[in-house]
Amino acid sequence: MSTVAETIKEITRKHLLENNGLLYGQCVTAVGWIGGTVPELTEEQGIVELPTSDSSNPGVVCGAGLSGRRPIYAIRYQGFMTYNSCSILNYAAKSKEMWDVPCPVFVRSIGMEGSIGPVAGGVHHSMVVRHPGIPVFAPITPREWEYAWNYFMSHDDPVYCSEHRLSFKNDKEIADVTFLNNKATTVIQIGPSRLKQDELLELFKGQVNIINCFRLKPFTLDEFQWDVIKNNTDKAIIVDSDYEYCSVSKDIAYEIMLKYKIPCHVIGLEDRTSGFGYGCDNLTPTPEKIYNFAKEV
Amino acid sequence: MHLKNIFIQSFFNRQFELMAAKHLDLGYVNPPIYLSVGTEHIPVCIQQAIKSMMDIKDVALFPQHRCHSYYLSFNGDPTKLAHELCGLPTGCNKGMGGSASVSNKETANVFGHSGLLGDQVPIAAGYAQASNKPTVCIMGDAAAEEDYALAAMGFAQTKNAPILFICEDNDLSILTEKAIRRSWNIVDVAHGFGVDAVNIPDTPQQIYHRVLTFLKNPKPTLLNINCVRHLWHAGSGNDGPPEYDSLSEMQERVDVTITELQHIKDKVESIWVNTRNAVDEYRSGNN
Repeated sequence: MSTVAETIKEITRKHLLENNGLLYGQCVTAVGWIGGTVPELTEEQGIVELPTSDSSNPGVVCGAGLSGRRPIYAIRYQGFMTYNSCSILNYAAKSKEMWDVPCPVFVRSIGMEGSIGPVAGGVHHSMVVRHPGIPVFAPITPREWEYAWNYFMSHDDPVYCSEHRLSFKNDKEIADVTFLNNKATTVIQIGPSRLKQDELLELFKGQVNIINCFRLKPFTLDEFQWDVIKNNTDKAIIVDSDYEYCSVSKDIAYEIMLKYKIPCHVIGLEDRTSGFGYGCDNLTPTPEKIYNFAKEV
Repeated sequence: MHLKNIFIQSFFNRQFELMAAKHLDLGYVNPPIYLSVGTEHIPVCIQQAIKSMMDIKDVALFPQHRCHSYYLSFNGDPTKLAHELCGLPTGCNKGMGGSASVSNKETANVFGHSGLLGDQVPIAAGYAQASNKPTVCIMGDAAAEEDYALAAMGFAQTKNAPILFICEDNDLSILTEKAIRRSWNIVDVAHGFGVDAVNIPDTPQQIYHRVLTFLKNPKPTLLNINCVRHLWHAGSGNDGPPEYDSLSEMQERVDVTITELQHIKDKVESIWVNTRNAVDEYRSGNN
């Protein structure tokens, strides 16, 4: 079974060598090849080293998107989207609607957390979700990443792939849904908190429904997942590794509340800046934190 | 170089722009509008140089606002542009682009601009690098100040992308002069990156031959073209007569009859009559 990193690496290799694709990024060929997710190929084979210019580089990648070469753009830390978002959201995402000219760019925006400071910490897909013209996925398993990629290759939209370094070594798939036959709390999990789903189940002593969610925009759940929300849920907790305010998790909560009149609560990063030192982090909610929150609300 | 051909298309562009200004004042054109009066011959010179060597569809063009004359000179349908300026769904970009974001992918390879000043520079640089096709990127002297525009120039040079940067330098960002905004000039900066760069007047010969030089050996090149904007940054107003008028100077050097000019004026007039009717019809249908 391949890990997420190996899956990304192999799909990228094929894209570059067989599809005339391109991969852009800063310091791609450095020591770790972005956590082992990039094949060790050359510029002639499609890896384009970019200068350290987070405001210009996304425009360059959009230009490659317009050329038809379906570029992949690796952004090493999602917080860098504060600069990198400009051309992705203002050009790639709007080009088809404005001018009937698709600009397919696959943005690999990589989340990270833990002693990494105020910018590089956390994931920031909610700021992308609110913009039109760009589907958003948050995969943490090999199959999910492949799903996001296949979506990209079968559509002509730019795609925002909200990755997380914690998932790169993961080689396991996660059940789409774990549910009880009676009504209970349903935890809808986005992002890397899903990697500790077993611990969460244990804390709840199995008395919880868990729904796996990675298709953020358009927000998509399978019918059987919706059935669990509709029939087996007395309250829902949406968990994410992004901030809570104006977030995709609150958006999902809103949609569920309107649809099924079920109370929904959201837990994600706290509304504060994360720092480098002890006690300064702002991390993905742990299973304990999710469990305690579910008991409180 | 056929100066008369350049003049005829430039004259057409001028008439179109003046009629657009008139229809702005009449309430038909949706503001904001960015008119190219005074610089309408620059795209014609570029187009003529390209046409002398290859199909114009083989060259990608990335203009920004003040792009009407680029659209018109690169095979754009003037009626569709007039409709676009009036916000009609029959416009070249279904009314989505307005004045600032015009594209033409049907009969040329002209890409639209998002409205984020200067973002066409990195986009054009990426297009040139990825496609390895000759690419022309147009910016103004203000857009050239955007950090991403400068970094993109460096990227293009590093990758030896086949791109020609055209800076239409009218010295003004809205009404703020260059000397107030910066202490450097773009040609020096481009030289710093290693880009072939030159400062030229907006005479047809200079533009035409510099573009030809680029096309013969496509590599990162910058032409900073000193030009004069006759009208305001946006809208149809002006601050008095322009310093000079390239179109009038050209007219003195070409053999063109009053009848030929009247024919162009009549053609433009009919485009705008059609557009007025279309707007009236659209408005009455939506009331």
